[in-house]
Amino acid sequence: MTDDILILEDLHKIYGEGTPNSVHALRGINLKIKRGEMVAIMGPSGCGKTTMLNICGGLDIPTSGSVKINGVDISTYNDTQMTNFRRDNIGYVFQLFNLFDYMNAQENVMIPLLAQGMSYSEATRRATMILREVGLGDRLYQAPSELSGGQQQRVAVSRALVTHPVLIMGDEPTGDLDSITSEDIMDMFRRINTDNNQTLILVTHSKWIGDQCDRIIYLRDGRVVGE
Amino acid sequence: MLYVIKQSLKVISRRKRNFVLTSFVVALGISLVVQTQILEGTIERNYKDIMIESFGNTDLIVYSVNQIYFPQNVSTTLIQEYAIEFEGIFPQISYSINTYYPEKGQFEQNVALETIGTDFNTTFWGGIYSNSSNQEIDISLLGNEEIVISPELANSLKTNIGSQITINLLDEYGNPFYHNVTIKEIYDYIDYGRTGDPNDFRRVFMSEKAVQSLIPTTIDNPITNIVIGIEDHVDTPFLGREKSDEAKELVQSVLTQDYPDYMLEVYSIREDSRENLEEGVSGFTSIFQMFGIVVVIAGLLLITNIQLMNMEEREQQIGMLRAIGAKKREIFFSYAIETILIGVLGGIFGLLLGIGIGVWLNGISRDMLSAMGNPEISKSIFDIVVEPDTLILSIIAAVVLSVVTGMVPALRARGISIIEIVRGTKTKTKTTTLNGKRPLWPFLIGGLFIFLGLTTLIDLIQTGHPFYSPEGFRNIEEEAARNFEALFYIGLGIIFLSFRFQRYRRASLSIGGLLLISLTIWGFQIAIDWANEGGNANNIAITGLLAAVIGATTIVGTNLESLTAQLRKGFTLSKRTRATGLVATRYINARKSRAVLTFATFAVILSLNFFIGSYAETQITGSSHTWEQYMSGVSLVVESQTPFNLSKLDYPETLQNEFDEIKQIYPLEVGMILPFDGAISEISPEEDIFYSKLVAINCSTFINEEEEVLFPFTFENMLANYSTLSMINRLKYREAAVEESKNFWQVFLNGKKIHRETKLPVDSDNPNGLPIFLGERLYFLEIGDIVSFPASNGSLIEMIYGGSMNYFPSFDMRINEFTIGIIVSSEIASQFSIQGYGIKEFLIETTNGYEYDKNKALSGKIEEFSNSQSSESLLTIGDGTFYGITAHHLWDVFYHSYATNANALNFLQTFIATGLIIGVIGLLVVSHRSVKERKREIGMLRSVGFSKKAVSLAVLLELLFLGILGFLVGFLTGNYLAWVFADLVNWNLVIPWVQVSLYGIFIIGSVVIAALIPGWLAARIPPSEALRYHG
Ligand SMILES: Nc1ncnc2c1ncn2[C@@H]1O[C@H](COP(=O)(O)OP(=O)(O)OP(=O)(O)O)[C@@H](O)[C@H]1O
Ligand SMILES: [Mg+2]
Repeated sequence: MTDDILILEDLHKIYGEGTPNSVHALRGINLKIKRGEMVAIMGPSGCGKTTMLNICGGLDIPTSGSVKINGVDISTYNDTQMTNFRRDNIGYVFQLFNLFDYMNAQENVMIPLLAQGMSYSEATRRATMILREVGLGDRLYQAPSELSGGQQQRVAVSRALVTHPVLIMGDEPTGDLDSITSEDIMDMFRRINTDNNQTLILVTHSKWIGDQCDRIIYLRDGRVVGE
Repeated sequence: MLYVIKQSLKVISRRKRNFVLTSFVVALGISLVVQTQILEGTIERNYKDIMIESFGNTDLIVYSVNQIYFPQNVSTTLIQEYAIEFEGIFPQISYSINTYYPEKGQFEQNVALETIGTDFNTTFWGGIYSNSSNQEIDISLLGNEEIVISPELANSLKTNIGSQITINLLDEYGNPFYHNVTIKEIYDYIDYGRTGDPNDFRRVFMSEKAVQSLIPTTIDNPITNIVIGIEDHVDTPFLGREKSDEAKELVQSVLTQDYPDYMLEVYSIREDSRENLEEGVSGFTSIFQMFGIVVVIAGLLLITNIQLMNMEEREQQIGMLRAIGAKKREIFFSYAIETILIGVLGGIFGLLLGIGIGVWLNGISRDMLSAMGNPEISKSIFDIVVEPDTLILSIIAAVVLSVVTGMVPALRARGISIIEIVRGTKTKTKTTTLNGKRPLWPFLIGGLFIFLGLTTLIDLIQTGHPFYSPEGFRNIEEEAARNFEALFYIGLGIIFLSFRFQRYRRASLSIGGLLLISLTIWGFQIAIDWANEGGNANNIAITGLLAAVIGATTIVGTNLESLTAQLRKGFTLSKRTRATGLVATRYINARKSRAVLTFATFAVILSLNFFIGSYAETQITGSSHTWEQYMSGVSLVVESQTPFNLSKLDYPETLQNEFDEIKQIYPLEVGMILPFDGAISEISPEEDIFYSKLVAINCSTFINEEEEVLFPFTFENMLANYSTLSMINRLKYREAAVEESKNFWQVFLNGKKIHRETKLPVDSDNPNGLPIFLGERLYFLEIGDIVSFPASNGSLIEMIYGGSMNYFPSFDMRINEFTIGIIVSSEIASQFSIQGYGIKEFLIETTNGYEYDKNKALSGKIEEFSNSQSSESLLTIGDGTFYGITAHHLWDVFYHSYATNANALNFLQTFIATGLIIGVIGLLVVSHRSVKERKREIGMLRSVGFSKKAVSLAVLLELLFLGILGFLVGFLTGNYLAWVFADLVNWNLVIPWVQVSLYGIFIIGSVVIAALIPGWLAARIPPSEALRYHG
C-alpha cells in the first residue's frame, strides 16, 4: 500500500468522440495525490476541472488512461462496481448544493448510509450527530428550501462526510456562498482533513481557498500546467 | 405582438417533445370525453328509433276491456266523426295462431295473424312489400285461403310461395281446429308506417274477410282494435302527452256514449309506450351516463395532471425570464399561445381519436350483441350517432380546461416575486403560501357552498323532513334529493374551507371526504329507488359518484403522508430497499397533487371496472340461483299453443319410453276459461298441484294516475281496478311483500315443495280459509283481504289473500304484462268452470340435471320426434289437426331473458376497459415526463451510491404505490356499489376474482412499463451528465 491515494496516469476524456463537435476535455493528466492531502484544483472556466473531478470520483469514465484509488484501478469498473465504489469511498459536495428538495436535512444526510444498507435507526443517529456537529442540530427536519444557502451547503457537506469516505470531492463547494459562509465551510473541510486525515480535492476559482490547501494544481486546456 | 408569437413558437419548437407529449395527453383525455358523448348520443337516438319504428304511425289505440272482439261499426263511427281531424283510423284484427308445414313436418307457434281494415287503406298507413317483386301487397286482394308470410317464417317452415300450410286456431269453446292456406306471397319488409315491430318475423297477413271468418266470435264483422294516427305526428315523432291525451279524451267520450256495452278504452299508445320504453332503458342509460361522467372525469384528471407538471416547470421559467427582463405581458402571451395551441391541437386530435374509438367500440358492441344471440336487437341498436352539438360543447369544455390549467402559471406570474422563484429550489410544493398569504378564494367558495347547504337544510327543517328518513325519503322524492344536495354542498364547503384554515385542515378534509363518500351510498340508493318507481334520478346518482371520487381523493390525499410513512417502514425492513423506499415515499409526498391525480385516475376508472365486473358476475350467479330454484328440477318444457287433448294423454308415456334421459314428466293443465271474457286459469289434474294462472286481458300497461284502487278486490271491482294496477307504488309494499315471501304456505308440485310456509291459518273445510297467492303485481292487497273470483255456477268464490309471490312457478316464459298469476288450492280450483280443456305444457325432469348441452340436444330430439308424426300421431286430434310442440330448454329461456342485461353489461365493460387503457396510456406519458424532469436528481442519487437498479426501483415504487392504492380504492368503491345494487335484489355479491387478478396484472404490468422504461433510460445517463442537467 502506497501513500498515494489517487494516481492519474495519462488520463484523457473526449466528449462525443467521433462526432464533429467532440471536445477533448482532458489531454493526458498525470497526477498523484497523497492520503490526507487537501488539494485545490484551479484553472480557467472550461479547462476540465469538473470533468477530472467526476472521473476521479467515479461519476464518469475516462476515454483512456487509468485512475487508481487506494491502489485499485477504477477506470475498468463496470457500472455496478463503480456504484458500490462511489457509495463506499467517495463523498461529493457540489456547487449547487444538490440536495433532495423533497427530503428534510436529516433524510438528505441519511440517504448514502441507507444506500449502504445501514439500519434506519443507526442512519438516523449518525445523520443527527453529524448535523449537530455542523451546527444544524435545530434544523434537522427542515426542507432544503427552508434553509439558507450556507446551511444547505453544510447539509451537503454532512452528506458527503457521513459515510467516512476516503476521498471527498468538492466542485466549487463555496461558489455560491458569501465569504463569511465560505469561511465556515472551509473551516469544516480543514477540520475533517486534520482530524480524520481524510483526503480532499476541491475545485475552486478562489485564490483564497487555494491558499488554504496543501497543494494547488493548475489545469489549462485539459492539462496540468503546474502546482 | 408578432414578436411575441414568434417568441412563443420558438419556445414551442425548443420544447418540441414536451409540447407533443402534452398535446397527446390532452388528446387522450378529450378522446374519453368525445367517445362518451358519441356512445351516449348513439344509445339515446337508437332507442328512440326502435321506438318510432315499432309503433309505426299509431298514436291512439282502441281496445275493449271486457271483450276480445267488437264490431267494425265502431271504426265506422269514428271515421264519420274524425275523418278530417285524424290522419287515419283503421280497424285491425290480431290473432295468435300456430303454423305447420306438413310436408316437411315443420312447426312454428305463436304466430301473429294480422289484417287491417281494407276500406280505409291509404299510403299513410304504409304497407307490406313483396320479397320478389318489391311491389306493395294489397291484402284486400288475397283470397280466403291465401296468406302472406315473412321470409324468416318461410325459412323456418322450409316452405315457399305456393305451398300449402296449416294454421291452427281455437274455436269459441276453446277447441282446436285447423285451416289450410296457401302461401301467396312472402313479404320483404313492412313499411314503418304500420304499427308493430317490423323485424318480428312471426307476423303473417290474410285478408280481413278471411280472418273474420276464422276467429271465434258471434259478432258480425269483428275487429280486435282500432289504430288511430293523428296528423301532427308526421313532423314530430312524439305528439307529447298533452296533445295525445286530448285526442284520446275526444275519442273516448264518443265511444263511451255510443258503445257502452263493449267497454271500449282508448289509450295514448305511443306516448304510453314511449314512457314505458324510456323507463325501461333509463336504468341502462342512466348507468351509462354515470359511467360516462366518471370516464370524462378520468380524462380531465389526466389533462390536469400533465398541465400541472407544465405549470410547475413554467413557474420556474417565468421567474427566470422575468429576472432577465422579460415583460410580464410578453411572458403571459407567449405561454397563453402555447397552451391554447396545446388545447386546440389536443382537442382536434382528441376529437378524431374519440370518434375513432367511439365507432370502433360501437362495432365491437354490435358484434358482441350479435354473437350473443340477439341479432334482432343488435341490428337496430347502436347505429353510430354523432351529435355535433354535444361533441362541440364537450370539446370546448375540455379545451377550456386544458387552457385554463395551462395558463394559471402565466396568470400567477403577475403576482410571483422573482426572487422567490429564482432562488427557490425547483419545486413549488407550497404554492398556496407562495406569497406568504393565504388565498381568499377557497374561503369564498367554501363559504358559499356551506351557505347553500345550510339554507337548504334550514328550509327542509321548516317545510319537510330533514335528513334521511325512510318514509319521507321514499314518498317525497324532492326532499331526498334536496337533503342529499344540502349535505353534498356542506361536504364540498368543508373541503374548500380547509384550504383557508390550515390548522384544521386535516380534520376538516377527512370529515368532508367521509361525508362525501357516505353520500355516494345515499345517492345511489335514491337513484335506484326512483328507478324502481319509474322515476329518474340520474343527476343524484352522478353527483353521488362525483362525491365518491372527490371524497376518496380527499381522504387519500389527506392521509398520503401517513400512508407513505407506513410504506416506508415496510421498506426499511430490507437492506436493499431502505434508501429507495425513503426516496420514493418522500417524492410522493412532495408532489402531492400529482400523486393524488395519478391515484385518482386509477381509482376512478378502476372503480367502474370493478363495479361492472362484480355486478355482472353477481347478476349471473344470482339469477342462475334464482333460476335453478325456479326450475325445481325441471329442465325442459314441452308446450303447445293448442291444448293437448286429454284423451291423448299417452303422449307423456310415449315420450318417456322413447327417451331414456327423461326421468319424469309433469303435465300442466291449462285452458280453463273463467266465465269472464279473457280470463283463463290453469289447473293441474294432479291432486297435489296447486297451480293456477289467471290471465286477464289488457289490464295493466295503461296508466291512469287519477283512479283509485277499489277494495275489496272483488270481481266487480277488478275491472275498475285494471287500469289502476300499474300506478300502484310498488315500493310502498315492497318490504311487506319481501317479508311475506319469506313466510309462504307450503305448496307442492308433484310432491316437491316449491314454496315455503305461510303464517296464515289453513282451514281446509272452509274455502275462505285457504290462502291464495298472487303474483307480484298485486302488492296493494293486504294479507287477509278477501279476493273474489267467479266460480262455474256464476257465484263468486271468496278467498283470503295470503301473500305475494316473489317468483311464480309457471314454466310459460311468456308471462307478460297482462298476466296475473294466482296459486289456489285444488279444492278452490275445482270450483271454477272449465270450458276449453286440455294440457298445454309438460314439464320434463331429465337425468342430465342442469347439464346444458345434453338437455339442449334432448329438446331437439323431442321436437323432432313429436313434430314429425303422421296423421296417426298422438299429437293429432279429432279431425286430424296436428298441433305440434315446441320443446324449450329452460336455461335457454333464462339466457334469453338475461341476454339483454348481459349485452348491456358487456357493452359497458368494453367501454370502461377502453377508458382504462386510454387512461393508462396517458399515465404512461405523464410518468415519462415526470422521470425526465428528474434527470438531475437521478444523477445525484447515483452520486451518493444508488445503482441503476435502485434508481429504477425508486421510480417504480412511486408509481406502483399509487397504482396499487388506486387499485384498492377502485376495488373497494366498485365492489361497494356492486354490493348496493346486488343487495337491492337480495343477491349475494360475487366478486370475479379471475377478472380482478387480470386487472391487477394489467395495472401492475402497465405501471411497471410506465415506470421502468423511463426510469431505466434516465438511470442509464452517466451521472456526471445528469448532474449537468438543469430543469
Ligand atoms: N457532456 C459534455 N459533452 C460535451 N462537452 C462537455 C460535456 N461536459 C463538459 N464538456 C466540455 O468539456 C470541457 C470541460 O468542461 P468542465 O465542465 O470540466 O470545465 P470546468 O473546468 O469545470 O469549467 P467551470 O470552471 O466553468 O466549471 C468544456 O469545454 C465543456 O464544454
Ligand atoms: Mg466546473
